[in-house]
Amino acid sequence: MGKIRVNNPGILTTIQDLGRKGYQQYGIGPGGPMDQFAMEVANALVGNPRSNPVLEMPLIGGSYLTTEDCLIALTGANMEPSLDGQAIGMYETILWKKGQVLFLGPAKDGIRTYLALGVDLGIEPVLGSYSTHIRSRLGGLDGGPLKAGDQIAFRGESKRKVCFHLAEKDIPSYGREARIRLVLGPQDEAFTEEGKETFLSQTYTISMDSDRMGYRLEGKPIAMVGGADIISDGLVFGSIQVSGNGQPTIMMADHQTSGGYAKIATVIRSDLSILAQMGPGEKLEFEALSPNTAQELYREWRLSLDQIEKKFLKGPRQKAFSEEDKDLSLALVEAFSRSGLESLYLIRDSLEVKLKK
Amino acid sequence: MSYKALPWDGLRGESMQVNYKVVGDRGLLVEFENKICPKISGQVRALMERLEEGGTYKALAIEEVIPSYRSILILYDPMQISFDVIKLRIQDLVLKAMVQEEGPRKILQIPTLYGGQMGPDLEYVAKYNGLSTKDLIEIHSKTDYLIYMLGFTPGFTYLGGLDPRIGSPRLESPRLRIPAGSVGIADLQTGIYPIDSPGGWQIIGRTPIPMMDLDRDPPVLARAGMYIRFRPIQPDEYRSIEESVKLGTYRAELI
Repeated sequence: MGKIRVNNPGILTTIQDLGRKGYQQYGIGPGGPMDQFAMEVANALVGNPRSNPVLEMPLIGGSYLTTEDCLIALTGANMEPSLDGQAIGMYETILWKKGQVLFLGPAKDGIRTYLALGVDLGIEPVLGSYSTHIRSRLGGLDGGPLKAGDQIAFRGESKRKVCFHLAEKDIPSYGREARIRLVLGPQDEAFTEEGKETFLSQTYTISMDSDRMGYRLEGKPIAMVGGADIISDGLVFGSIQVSGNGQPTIMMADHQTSGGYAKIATVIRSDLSILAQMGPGEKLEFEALSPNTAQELYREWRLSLDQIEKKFLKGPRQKAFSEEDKDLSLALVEAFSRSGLESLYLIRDSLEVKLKK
Repeated sequence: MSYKALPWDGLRGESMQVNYKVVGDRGLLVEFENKICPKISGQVRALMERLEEGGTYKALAIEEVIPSYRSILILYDPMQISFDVIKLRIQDLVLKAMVQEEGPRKILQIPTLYGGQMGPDLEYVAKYNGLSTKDLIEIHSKTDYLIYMLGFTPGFTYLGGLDPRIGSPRLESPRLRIPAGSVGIADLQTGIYPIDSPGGWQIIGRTPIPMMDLDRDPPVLARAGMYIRFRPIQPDEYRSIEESVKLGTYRAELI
């Protein structure tokens, strides 16, 4: 029986599996990973069922220690991970040895990192899921994010004995701008033709007010036929509501189950993973698809995930980053812990600037 | 994207229009008439009952259904069924649902201790409406409230039917913590807080019974389509119900 000790939990690290299914009609949201692609690939790299619980780490990963050997894989945003100061790679199977400290700094590209563990975690599911839903205090460890000093017990040996990695060309790259595909509706009739044109033609900025519940966007207001209010109805991960001021909000993994604003469109499943890796200040444009094309893309997305093992290459990857970058990353984490969350995006920007120099 | 069905004359002798709308790459929204009333809510319930019949979820690859006042959002697995096919199958179910007789009312009785520490705003709401607290309690507890939908927070019930004589504005500054079981009024709505949460409703009483219980499946006590009736109780009954809840011997008052 081993344990993972949380020395430093990062910012809002939570345990996530594929989420609670079937409880939205009782007002209980599904939760689940923001970036399902990265989450499933991480599990596959350690030989887990792809639906296993993982750690989702936004912006800064933190530091963890294991008391027993454990296979791990890290996917999503690159936080320049290291084991006892030795750089390790993203998107590869890694043996985390007993007593080693796993450290993850600020995200260099993208904003969420997934840590899969090739063992059985000693936590109990709530309503069929391990996913942490902070607002309803459900799942994970006591319904909340990880805290310093938390311990996660685990059992069992890692199933996989061989190291794999995903080829560079198959790893998503994250930009600061993205074109997000969607299907108009279900309440697109609430907006004027001009309003829909505004929505589809402009560049939006993701606002500071964005988290696991939803991303608020800033742009020119969308013109409506009447008001924004509708009789409350069901929401899905990816629903885009437009409130009275004409600004859209994209519902993300921890969205409420119902909402009272007209929904102009719904983001397609595959592009939610792209959105999940974007943060405040970054830019979005939208492209409307026909429902048939959207369903085709869904099937392609699902099949590519179901067959991801076919793309794995045997053996380890090359070293991920330089010593100099690591020192910078340590300094930035320290700066963050002194000055708090508000400075976080400044830190990310300065990190990017320094890395470019 | 909206697909309108032809107007259809139901066997109950009313014409009805249902919209079937695309929701992204994995959802179908079935919309009934755009209003909040028991009749439309009954249509939603009737379709829900059809969907919940054994085997329907599996046959239509349904992953989740979210009923509301006037619609049902159906999330399905696009690997197994396409929008066009599920839409046709749901249209059939809508037709079948409409010939169904309405079942008897299910009323969930909620024992409620009004006023005092449990209902700190009872006197304010009474005074606001120019009533005595006794009259307020009587008016509040004599209506059967239809549960239109659950949402907002886990287990929260959207109820219809509050007597306008006891409506009341929200608190000017919301409370940081309202205990689970609190019964409140806001504008022309009444409801029960199923879990501890912040909130701005005027709190007039509290029930000792758990509206949410994670050891129950489903974890909620109240279901959409049921009615809620508040039954005024005294402090000693509150304590004895609280005790039986703790012992696990409490049985919901379903009539």
